[in-house]
Amino acid sequence: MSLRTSISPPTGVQDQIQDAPSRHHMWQRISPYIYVGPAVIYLIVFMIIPVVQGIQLSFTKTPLVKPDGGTGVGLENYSRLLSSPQFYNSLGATILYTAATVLFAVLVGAGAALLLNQSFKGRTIVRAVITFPWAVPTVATALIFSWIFNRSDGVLNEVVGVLGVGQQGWLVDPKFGMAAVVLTSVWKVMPLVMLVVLASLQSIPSELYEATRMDGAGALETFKAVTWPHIAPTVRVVTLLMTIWSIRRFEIIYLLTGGGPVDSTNTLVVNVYRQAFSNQELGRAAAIGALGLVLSLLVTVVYFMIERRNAVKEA
Amino acid sequence: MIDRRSFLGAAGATAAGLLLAGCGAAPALDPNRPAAAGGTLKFGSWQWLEPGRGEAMWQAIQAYTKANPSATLAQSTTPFLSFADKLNTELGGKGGPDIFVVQDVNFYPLADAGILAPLTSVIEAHKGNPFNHTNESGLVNGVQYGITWERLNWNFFWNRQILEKADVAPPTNVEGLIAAASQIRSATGLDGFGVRHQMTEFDSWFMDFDVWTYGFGGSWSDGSRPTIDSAENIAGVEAFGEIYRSGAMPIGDDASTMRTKFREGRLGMMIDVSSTVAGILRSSKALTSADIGFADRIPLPKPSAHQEIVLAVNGYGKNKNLAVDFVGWVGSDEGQAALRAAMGPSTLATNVPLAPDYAAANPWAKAFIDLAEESRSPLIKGFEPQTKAIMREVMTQVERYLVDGGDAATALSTAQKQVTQLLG
Repeated sequence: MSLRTSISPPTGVQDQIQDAPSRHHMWQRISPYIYVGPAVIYLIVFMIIPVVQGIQLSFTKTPLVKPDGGTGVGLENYSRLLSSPQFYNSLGATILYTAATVLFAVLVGAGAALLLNQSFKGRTIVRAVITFPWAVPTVATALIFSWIFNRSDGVLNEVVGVLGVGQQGWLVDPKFGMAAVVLTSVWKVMPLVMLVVLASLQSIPSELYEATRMDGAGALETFKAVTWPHIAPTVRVVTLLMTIWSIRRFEIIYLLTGGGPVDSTNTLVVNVYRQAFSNQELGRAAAIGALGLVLSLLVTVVYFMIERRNAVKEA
Repeated sequence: MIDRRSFLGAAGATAAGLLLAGCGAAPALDPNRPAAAGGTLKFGSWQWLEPGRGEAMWQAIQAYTKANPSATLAQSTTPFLSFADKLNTELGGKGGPDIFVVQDVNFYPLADAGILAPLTSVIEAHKGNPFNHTNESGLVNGVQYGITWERLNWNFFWNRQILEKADVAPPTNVEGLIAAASQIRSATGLDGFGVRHQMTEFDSWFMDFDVWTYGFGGSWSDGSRPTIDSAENIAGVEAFGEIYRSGAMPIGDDASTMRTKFREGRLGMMIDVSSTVAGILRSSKALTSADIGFADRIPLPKPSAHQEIVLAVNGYGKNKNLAVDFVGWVGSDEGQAALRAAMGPSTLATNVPLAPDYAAANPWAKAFIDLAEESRSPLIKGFEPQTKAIMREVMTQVERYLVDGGDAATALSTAQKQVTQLLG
């Protein structure tokens, strides 16, 4: 009898010791699923099922008050939408609103981040003040700006009055409606861009700036050679997020203009709300939502194509 | 220390417990439960939030719990702007309050969809002061699904002090109204005339706007096809355009702001419903009832519009017999007398006179109530369930005409085409 055999534990204990690695192996195999499970269940229940149901709904004529009483109409909702000038007006308003909001929010936000990355007295206070709009509730923002833009009593007309410009209907004139909504949105979302870009700027090693200084580079060359390559991926991500959020933004637009004046700010999301609740046509609202989803997906695909091209270039 | 197995076991048990708790339904009431068995009725209304008036209405209907001591009433409150959307969504999900009040434009689609409880028994069992003609608003497809909670009539009223200061006589037609508003602006610097005019208030503005088209004898349909671009409607839109562009209106102000201005003595004249005048007087330090000048009717050639608020019973309610019993009580002489004191200058389901002291203190109130005899509903005949969708197209074109210029005929012709396309 070998020593090894002589010190072997009793059979039951031996089985347990042999089972332990297999249980550990089993745990290793299933634990990722357990960890990911809740998130997957959440996505299925709150994202995938509603999206699928929404798409199903878009092929029906369903009244709001009887959501289970819809009748199939095939592609009628889509054909009506695609032949309706209002839909293209709504699509145009969405693209214009999104493009303008993202452009100005990213430009102003990144610019503010570059400024606030410099050393100056009171920098912390200025940073806190500029972040303030992000913390203001959206409904309060819309209310405050509706007072500012008010034609008869608004502060903005007082200001332009001093400059010799007459009273303007910022929220009632279709020439200004979109500009008013974009201005309000940029004021609200710009601080987020600033914070994200500022965080990225602060991760740039100071040695790189010292090196460019020693090489005699000016401010513009330093920005092109050091700053921009570091913050560009962050700016791209924040631009993507801003774009998707702008496509689906509702509260500011609805509360300021309700989609007016003369439908000039009637974006797809506002249109969905009107169709679903005012016209009580869930099917048509779902069709607009589905087309809006396609727009968001297109933006995301374009983003990933750009990212892949950049990755290939860098490789 | 908890090992993985114990942790997962506990987590699983907790999740299963939560799921079972979530799936477990509250004990359902028997739908045939008699009204005498009592219970709690949830009453949905935005009006409970109206300062002063909401509280008075709530106190008035508590008298029902004396008539049926086994019943209790509970409020379900949502602000006006989102009330209809929330109610429709709740009813779509087969939930919602047991009883509710709702404007006729929102009531009709609910009744038409067959999700309200019929009130035939209320009409059949009704005794005492008979239901008046306003209750026809609750009749849909030949079945009574609602009774009048209150009918609010639009009328023309003004601040006597401002008109005297501006040396302006109360106008009796559109030209006079424009001239008076302009005179008030030039003489006092105050806004001359206020009325809703923005799409941000679409849910109220489209009804408010009927004052102008109905005032010229217009209709949005002939019962079988839309008549958006009729000569009468064009005349109404043009009249509104003239006052809008007169420079005497506070363009950009919403109704709430204009009411505040009137209350504070900063706005000369208004067209609004009776409850607005009552609300202004209740909270004004600048005005008393004697300061309110009023017309017998809006200074337009034809009868005007009203806003009807209908009381209905949720067809999905768990205690429908009790809810129907409550509606019967509201229509009874006792219920109407209780509501009359709380409602003030509204037309009710039966012709209940104002209390003599209230009528003497508020001479304008009777003029508003009497308008119910000839006022017209915002519902579009033949297309009642689509009223809001049709009016969305119409009001968008009206807004285009107001802010972009052009002519009213073209705007309404465009709306006619769009509405025809909408109705398929």
